[in-house]
Amino acid sequence: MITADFYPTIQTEATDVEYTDLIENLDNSVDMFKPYVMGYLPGTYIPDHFFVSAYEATDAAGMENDGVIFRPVYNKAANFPWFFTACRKTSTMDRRAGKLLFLDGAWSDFNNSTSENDYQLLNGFNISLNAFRSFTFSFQYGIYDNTRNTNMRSMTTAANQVTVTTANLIDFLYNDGTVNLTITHNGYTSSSSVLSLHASDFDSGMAHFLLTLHHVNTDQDCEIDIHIIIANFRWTISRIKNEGGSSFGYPNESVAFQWETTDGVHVVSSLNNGYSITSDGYITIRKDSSRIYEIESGIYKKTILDTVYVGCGLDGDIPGSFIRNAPTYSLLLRKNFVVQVIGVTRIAVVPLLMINDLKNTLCFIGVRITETNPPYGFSDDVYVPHYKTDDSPNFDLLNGDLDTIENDLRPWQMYNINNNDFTWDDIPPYVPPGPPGPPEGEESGDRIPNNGRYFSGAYNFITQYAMTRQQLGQFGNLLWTSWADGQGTITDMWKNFKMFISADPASDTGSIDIASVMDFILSLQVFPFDLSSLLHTDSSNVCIGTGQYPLAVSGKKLLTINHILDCGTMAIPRPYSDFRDYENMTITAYLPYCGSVELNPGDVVGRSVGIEYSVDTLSGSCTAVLTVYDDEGYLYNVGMINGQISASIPMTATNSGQIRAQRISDVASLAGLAGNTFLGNIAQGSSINPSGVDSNPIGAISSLATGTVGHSFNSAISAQQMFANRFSRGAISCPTLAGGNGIAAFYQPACPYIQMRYGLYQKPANYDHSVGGVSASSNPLSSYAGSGFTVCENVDISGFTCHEEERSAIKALLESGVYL
Amino acid sequence: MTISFYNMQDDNRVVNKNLGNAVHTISNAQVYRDTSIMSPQFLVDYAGYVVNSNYVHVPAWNRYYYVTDVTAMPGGRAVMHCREDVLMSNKDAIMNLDAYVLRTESDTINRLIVDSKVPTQANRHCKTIAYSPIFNALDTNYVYLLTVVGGVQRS
Repeated sequence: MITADFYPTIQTEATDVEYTDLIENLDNSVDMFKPYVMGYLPGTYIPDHFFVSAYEATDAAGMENDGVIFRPVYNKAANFPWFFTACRKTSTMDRRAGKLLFLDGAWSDFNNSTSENDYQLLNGFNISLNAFRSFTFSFQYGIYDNTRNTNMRSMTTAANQVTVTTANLIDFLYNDGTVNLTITHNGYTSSSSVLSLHASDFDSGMAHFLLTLHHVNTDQDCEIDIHIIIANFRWTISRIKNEGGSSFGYPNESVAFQWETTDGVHVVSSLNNGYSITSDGYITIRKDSSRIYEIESGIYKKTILDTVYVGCGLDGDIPGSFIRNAPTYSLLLRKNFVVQVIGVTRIAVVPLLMINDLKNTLCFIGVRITETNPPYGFSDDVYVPHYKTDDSPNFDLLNGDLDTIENDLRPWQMYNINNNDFTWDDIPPYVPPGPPGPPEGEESGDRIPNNGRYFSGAYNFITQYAMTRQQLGQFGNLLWTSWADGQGTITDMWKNFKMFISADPASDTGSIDIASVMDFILSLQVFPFDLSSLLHTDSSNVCIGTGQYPLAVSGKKLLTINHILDCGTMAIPRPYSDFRDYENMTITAYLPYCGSVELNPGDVVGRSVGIEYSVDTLSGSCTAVLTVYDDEGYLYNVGMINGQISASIPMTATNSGQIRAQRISDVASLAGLAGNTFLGNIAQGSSINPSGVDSNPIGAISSLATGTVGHSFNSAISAQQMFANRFSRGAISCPTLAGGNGIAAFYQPACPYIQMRYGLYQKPANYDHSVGGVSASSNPLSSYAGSGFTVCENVDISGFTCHEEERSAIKALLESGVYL
Repeated sequence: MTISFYNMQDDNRVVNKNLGNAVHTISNAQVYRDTSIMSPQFLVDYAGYVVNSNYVHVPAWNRYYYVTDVTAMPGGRAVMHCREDVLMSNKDAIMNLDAYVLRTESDTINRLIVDSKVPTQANRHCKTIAYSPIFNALDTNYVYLLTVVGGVQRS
C-alpha cells in the first residue's frame, strides 16, 4: 500500500518538500502500452505519445457546466511527456462537487459498466500496485482570473515533488474518495469543488489513471486549475465517458472527438470514425466519436498568433491554456498534421495538438475561431497562450488582443526532447514575423525571395481593361455594329468606317488622322478566373492611343501585369507512416493550363504543398509553382511548370488588316459608282466633313462624285491599297486572335490537384516476427534480448572458442535469422 | 557421462531457449561408437523419457543437443542420435556479440528504411488531393481582358 498526502500551496517558491515516495517498491520497468488506435489519421504518424485537451460544457446556461476536461500536461523531468486527463464536474449550488474516482480495472470494464459500484473508488492515493508499473508524481496549479482575463499565478512542481508550506493557502484534502478543495486567494476563500478524473489504457488490461482537478469559483471570478499528475511512463488515450446529467453520476455516454466537415464544404477525403479533411483544408472535430491520437514527445512552440489561427502551447502551464469566448472551433489543417478540438463552451481550453513524425520538421496547427455572438456574455477577446520569449523553460500565457496577433501563420516547431543532447537552450528565441532570411552563414539569395513580385511599369505604354461578357458585347457592337452581317444601314457602315480610320471613332466631330482602333488593340483574351481582385475598383471608358478619345465602352483597368493566384495549401498524407510513403510512390501534381509535374515524394510526403500561379496578363502565360516548407522554415520550390492560362478571342475572321482593307474597298466601290475620289482625299490626308456625310451619306458621296475633290478613281484605288497596307500593320500587333489555347482548355479541371499513386502491400501482422523489420543498428545482441527475430549481417565471430564447424553454423544462423 | 533430458518447445532458432526443468537426468550415458561432438550418439538405458525427450544437455561438454532420433537396442538399451544446438551452447558468447543487426523484431526497426521483403501488389492505390477551385469563373465575371496600346486618358 502506498499512500501520499500532500498540501500544496500557491506560493510560487517551493520552500519545502514533502511527499511520499510513490515509486517505492514499484517495478520501474517501463510499460509499453500499446496505443488504442481507433482510426488512422492520414498524413500523421502515430507516435508514442499523445495528448489532447478539451473542455466541454453542456449546460445551456453556461454557468454550471457538466462536462469533461481533457488536459495535456508535459513533464520533462518525469520522462512521461504527455498524459491525458479528464475531469467531470457537476453542477450544484456550490458549483462543483464530485468524487475522486480511480479506476482499478480494465477499460472495457469501465466502458461497459453502467453501475457506479463497478468502479472501485480507491482510497485517495492508495494505489494498488498493479495499477502502475512505473510512474511519477507531480503537481501543478494555476489561478486564472475570469474577470481580468489574466493568468494570475501558476506553479508547477518538479516530478516526484509536492510542495508544502505551513501557510496551506490551498488546502487539499482527501476524504474517502471525495476531494474537497479549500482555496484562499487574495483575501477570499472558496471551499467546494472537486472533480474526478479518470483515464485508462485498456489494451494492457490494466488501469492507469491520473487526476485533474478543475475548479471554477464563479462567485469570486477566480478559476483555479489544479493538476495532479499520476501517470505511468507512457500514457495513451482512452475514451472518456461523459457524464449524463447535472447530478453526480458516472458518465453514460462516450465523449471523444469526431471529425466532421464544416457546413458547405466539399469532402474530398473521409475515413472511419467521422474524420474528414475538407477540400479547403478544414477539419472540425465534434464529440461523440472515438479516436485516439498520439503525439510524439517533444516541445512544441508557436511563436506568434493571429486572430484566426490560434492554439495553445503544449506546456505544463495549464492555466494558461484558455481561450475565451470561442463558441466554435474548426481546425485548419496545416503542415504535416493535425488534430484538434472541439466544441461549444463558455470557457474553452483550446487544446492543441501536434503530431509530427520527423524530428525538427515543421508542424502547423491552428484553431479557427469563429467569433459569433458570445453566448455567455464574455468579452470578445480571445486569449491565446504562446511561448515566452525569455528562453525560460516555462511556457506562459501571454494575453494578446486581436490587433496584435494577426497574420500569424507561423508553424509550430517541434523540438525533440528525446534527444539526449536536448537542452532548453535549443529552443530559439522568438523571431518576429517576416520573410525568413538565410540561415546563419549563408548568403542571401540562396532562398526564394517572396517580395517584389509585382510590376506595373508596362502600363506606361499599354492599358489592360477587364470586361464582363456584357461589356465585351458592347465593345463588339461598337466595332462592328450590324455592318459585318450586311444588314446595316449606310449610317452604320459609315460609323464603322470612321471607326477604322479615325482616331476619334466615338465622336462624330473628330478629324481623321489616318489611324484605326484596331491599330491599338494588342489582344483580347479570356481568363478562367475572375480578374476582379486584380482590378481598379472603378470602371472607366476604354481609351486607346493617346487616350484623348474614350470609347463608349467601359471596363476596369488592371493594376499590374503579373499576378499571383494562390491556390492554397494541401497536406500530402503519409499512407503508411514508413518507407512505403516514399518508395514505390509517385506523386503527380496536375496544374490546369500548365500540365503535370512529377514531385519527389521525399520532398512533399508528410508536408503541405502550396501552389501558386504567377500570371502574365499581357501574354496570358503563367507559371505554376509548388512549394513546401523545408526543415528550417523556409519556403522552397519543389516543382514548377509554365503554361498558357488565357485563350485568345478572335476579333475578325481573318486578320484585321484585311477586313479593314475590304471595308475601304467597299467604300471605294460606292465612291466609284458615283465617280468620287473620296479615298484619294483620304490618301492625301485631306479633311472631310464627317458630320455632313454622316447626316446624309448618300448626298455626301454624291457630292464627292461630282468631282468636287477631283481626284481620279485610280487614285482612289491607290489610296485603298495604301490603307490596306497601313491597316495590315494591325495584323502584326493584332493578330487573328483566333489562335492560342482556345477556350476548350477551359474544360480542364477548375482546380489543381495532386495524385498520389502508391503501392499496396501485404504486410501480415506477424511480419516483424517472421521476417523482421529493417533495423540497420549495431549493438551488443544482449540489448536485443527478448525482442524476437533478429538477422545479423556479416557477423564477425572473433572470440568464439568453439570448433570451426560450430563457428560456421553460428555465423550462418545469425545471418539467416535467430530469435533473441 | 551425465545427460539431462528436456522437452524443449522453442523454435530451433531461439538462442536462449526456455528449457524448464529437466525431465530426467542420468549419469550413466555412454558415447556410442566414434562420434562427432556436433552430432553425437549416446548409449543409454531405454526409458520412456529417452523416447519422449527432444533435447539434452551434456554438462561435461558444455553443449546442448537436439535429439534427432532414438534407436532401440537389444538388452534394454537405446541409442540417442543428437545434433548440437550451437546457439544454446554458445548463447553467452552470442549475446555478447556486437553485431550489425540488419533486421529485427525489436523497437529498433527503422521504418523509413526501404524494406524490399514486404510483399507488394501489382496494382497501386490512387489518391487525389484537390485544391480549392479557382479556375471556375463565369463570363459574367471580369474574365475578358482587352489590351490596348496607350490608353492613358488625358484630362
